[in-house]
Amino acid sequence: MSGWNVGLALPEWILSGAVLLALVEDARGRKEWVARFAWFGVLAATVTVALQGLLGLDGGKHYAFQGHYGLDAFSVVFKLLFGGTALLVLAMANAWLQRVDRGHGEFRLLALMATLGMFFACSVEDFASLFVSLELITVCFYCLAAFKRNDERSVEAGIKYVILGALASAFLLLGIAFLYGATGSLEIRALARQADDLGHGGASLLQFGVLLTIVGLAFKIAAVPFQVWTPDVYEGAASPVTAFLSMGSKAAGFVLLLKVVRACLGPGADQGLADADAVRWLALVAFMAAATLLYGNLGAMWQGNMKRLLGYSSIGHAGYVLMGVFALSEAGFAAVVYYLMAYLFTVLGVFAVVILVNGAIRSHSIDDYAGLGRRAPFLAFVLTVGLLSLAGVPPLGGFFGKFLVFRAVVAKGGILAYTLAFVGAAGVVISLYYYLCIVKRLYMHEPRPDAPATIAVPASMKTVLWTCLAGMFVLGIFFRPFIALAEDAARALVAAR
Amino acid sequence: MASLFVLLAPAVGCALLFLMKERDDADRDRIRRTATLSVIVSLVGSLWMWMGYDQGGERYQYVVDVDWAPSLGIGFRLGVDGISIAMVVLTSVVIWAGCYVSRSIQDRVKEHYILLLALVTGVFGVFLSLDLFFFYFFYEMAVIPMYLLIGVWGSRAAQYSKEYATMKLTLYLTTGAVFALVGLLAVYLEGSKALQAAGVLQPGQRTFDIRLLSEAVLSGGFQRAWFPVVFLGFACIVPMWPLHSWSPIGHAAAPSSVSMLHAGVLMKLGAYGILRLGFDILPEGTKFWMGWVAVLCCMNILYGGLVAMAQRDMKFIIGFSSSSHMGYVLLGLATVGVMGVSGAVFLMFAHGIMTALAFGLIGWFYDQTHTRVVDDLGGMIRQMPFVGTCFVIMAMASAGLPGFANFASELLVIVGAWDASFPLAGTGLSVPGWIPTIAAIWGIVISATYLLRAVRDAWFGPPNPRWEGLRDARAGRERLPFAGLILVLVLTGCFPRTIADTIKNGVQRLRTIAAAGEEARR
Repeated sequence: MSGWNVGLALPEWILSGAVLLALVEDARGRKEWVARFAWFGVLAATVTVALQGLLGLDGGKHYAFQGHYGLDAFSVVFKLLFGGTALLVLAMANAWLQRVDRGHGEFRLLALMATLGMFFACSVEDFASLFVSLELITVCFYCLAAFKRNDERSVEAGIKYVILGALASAFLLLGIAFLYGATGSLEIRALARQADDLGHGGASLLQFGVLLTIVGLAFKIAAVPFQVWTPDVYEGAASPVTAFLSMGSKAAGFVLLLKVVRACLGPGADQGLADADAVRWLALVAFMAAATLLYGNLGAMWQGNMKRLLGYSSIGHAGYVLMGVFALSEAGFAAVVYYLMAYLFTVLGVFAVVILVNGAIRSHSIDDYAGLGRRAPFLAFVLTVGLLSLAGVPPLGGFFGKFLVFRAVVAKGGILAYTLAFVGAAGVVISLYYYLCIVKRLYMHEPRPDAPATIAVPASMKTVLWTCLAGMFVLGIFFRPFIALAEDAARALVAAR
Repeated sequence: MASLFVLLAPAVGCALLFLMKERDDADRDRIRRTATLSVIVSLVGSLWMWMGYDQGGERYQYVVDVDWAPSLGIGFRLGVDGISIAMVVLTSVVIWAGCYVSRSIQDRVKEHYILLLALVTGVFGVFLSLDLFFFYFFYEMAVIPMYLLIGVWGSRAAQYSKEYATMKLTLYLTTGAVFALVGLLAVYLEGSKALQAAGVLQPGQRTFDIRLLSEAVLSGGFQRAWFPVVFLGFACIVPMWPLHSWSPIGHAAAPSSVSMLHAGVLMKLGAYGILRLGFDILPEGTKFWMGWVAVLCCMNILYGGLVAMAQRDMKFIIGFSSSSHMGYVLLGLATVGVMGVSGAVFLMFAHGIMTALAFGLIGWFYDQTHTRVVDDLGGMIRQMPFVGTCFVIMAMASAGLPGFANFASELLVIVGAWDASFPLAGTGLSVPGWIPTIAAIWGIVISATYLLRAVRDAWFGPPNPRWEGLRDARAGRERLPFAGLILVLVLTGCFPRTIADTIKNGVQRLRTIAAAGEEARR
């Protein structure tokens, strides 16, 4: 744990190198090189992570930078997830940037830096680097949200995000300060050593610190009651940014949340994770999950704007993922990982269609999607499959994610868990309603007379769409290798330290 | 392997259709032929399984067992017992007829058949699954194509738009399903725990295998607590009163082939789920709660029948009569005895065939008249002697005339109910068997009334000059589905043992029934 072992962070080195090179090239005005460095940087980093996972892990945990950086199956799986997200978003952005006349370099650069932050977030071992990696992600997203600087709503989204994000960061910092005061250490592991105090009401300083830290992270994942920024930012930001935000930023929030929650559970898996007494205060996660999924799903019912609807629905999905966190078990954490894997392909597929449709009809109104089934059958098909996967319909990945979450919650047992499961079930029905309302417009309504007859799909977008489509079906039917991956990640998270 | 064959034939057909293009009429014909062929393969496969089912042999036959996600205990397990074989045959007969009836669809033919085949793959999957996970998986998979099938190709149902009807149906079915899912997961976890304690499973190992779970000894408290959750989930689908309101509207709005499949097969999934999860895995819970079901199903029978009497839209009449008939199925299940439950399963089969026939025939004239309101019709038998005759036969079967499968099965249910008594859990009271029996017999009178009235007003009586040019089913291809369905009804009605024996064999081996039988012997 004490060595430097700098080679372990090779993916991050690669990404950092790509950031620097891209920065130089951007300054020299060679935009196409920025694109290349961004793309190949992420690709190389993702492949490196995959190789690390396959060859160098031996099922254990490895440390670098004197224990401030850790690598285990959990971080590897999430880094792969973020790498995949970044690749798909960059491919999507290629098509989208052609409609924008400036800032191509900056867009890719910021996306690259945010990815670097996400990679670091997977490996943080102390609260200082947790905060820094989270800020690296968030600051990039502040700029990305306001990327269309001539668009009032985009600027509004950026400002809103900055102000509320800064508030969240303040909470987080305060929480970290309390924790430091209580444990005398910035290590997340230190929390685990004090976990017994958490349960027995001893150290109120510690409890308060954990509470504030969770509040800070709840902003990132848009959990009720810290969700208000989501619909506005989602609507205002450019679509590829929204896609990146809804997958990348949210998943990064969950990575850190899982790390903190895990540390609260005590030192070893051998003592039994689901020891409800020691973590009774985490019942608040149950209420947060229920409130989040109800708020998101009920709010989405009334939306007429596609991106706003997806904003609300992403709040709903955060609620389901929180259900998995609430289970506080290996099965629950595995469900979280799997849910996010499926969410990656699903939500990016949906956003790819949104970008293409918006490019053709210049509108995000759901009513303008009418008759898409006749005008662009393939896009309509991908959108339908994506929406159904979001709703959790087999044989799609979203279904299996939800299934695992429900399984973990029911396995937890007890009246709280069963109630949460039934609330979740109600949420599924509500979400199916508004997703089907979109499907209805695609296939049952006639297109507006002035709508374009067809919608062109560039090659990069076609790749994204097919990848997402394949991902949704594979994760929904042939889930065996992926559930193994998710279980590995959860086991690594839970394993004694 | 035969079970895999039956399941995959429509799935492969569905995938093939994705690759085909729909440009002109020749293409459309090719699409129809491909779909029909894949369904005929299933039909042959299911008949093969039915003929080859060995009643003296293993309970589950034609078993396919592939580990799918061992860490969760999910396996791709297929197989049939005496009950599911009847349901599989029913499904394949109905979808075979449905494919022929669907020829009247002219708009977006390819999408229509893709969804139809996806739907039927799901239905086959439910009946063939021996794994709770895939049972649920296929069930949910069957619901969504229904939404699009009704929404795109359906028609207005009285004052309700097809979009309203299809949304209502989908939401009801999904609500039922997700609530059943929570119960199903509880059963899986508790059952696995019991199996671990019994040494059947390793510690920490879990299983969704229905065969193993139906041997798990679950505590009475658990069964009594969770049976209502599972039951109410499936009761939405049956549909049991008062959860039935989606069903007649859905039937009425759907295009003919979908109404056929929906009323004929999809509604049976609910009762089938109750048999699999309730009767096989939660025997004590079943016995404890089923008395209440006997009370509620009387509402189904009488209320459904009376509402059907007040309807003027032909599809609504059949729709409400379906929920009335499903009351008999529930009554049969509520007896928790060999005769009643066998009768219920047999009635599921008979009603499926009969109601598919009804909706097919209604679709035939609705395509031409564009109205189903009985008062607007009249004297159509002159223009359509074949379809009219089939309709009269259907009405007679539905009203319970001897010689048809419906009579035989309803008789079993009624006799079974007469002998039974229905303890009402929680009250200490018990409803004697003759009360629901009288309701059931009265229900037959009601159904005869509305069916005969519908026949009289629509097919006989003064001819309406508007319907001069109606076309009868003349070509063999057009008559085939109707003739086929009637043939099945008559064959199983005159020789009920052809199918009732297999069903009885399956019912006797249901855990609840087998346990009751052993008690009686002692």
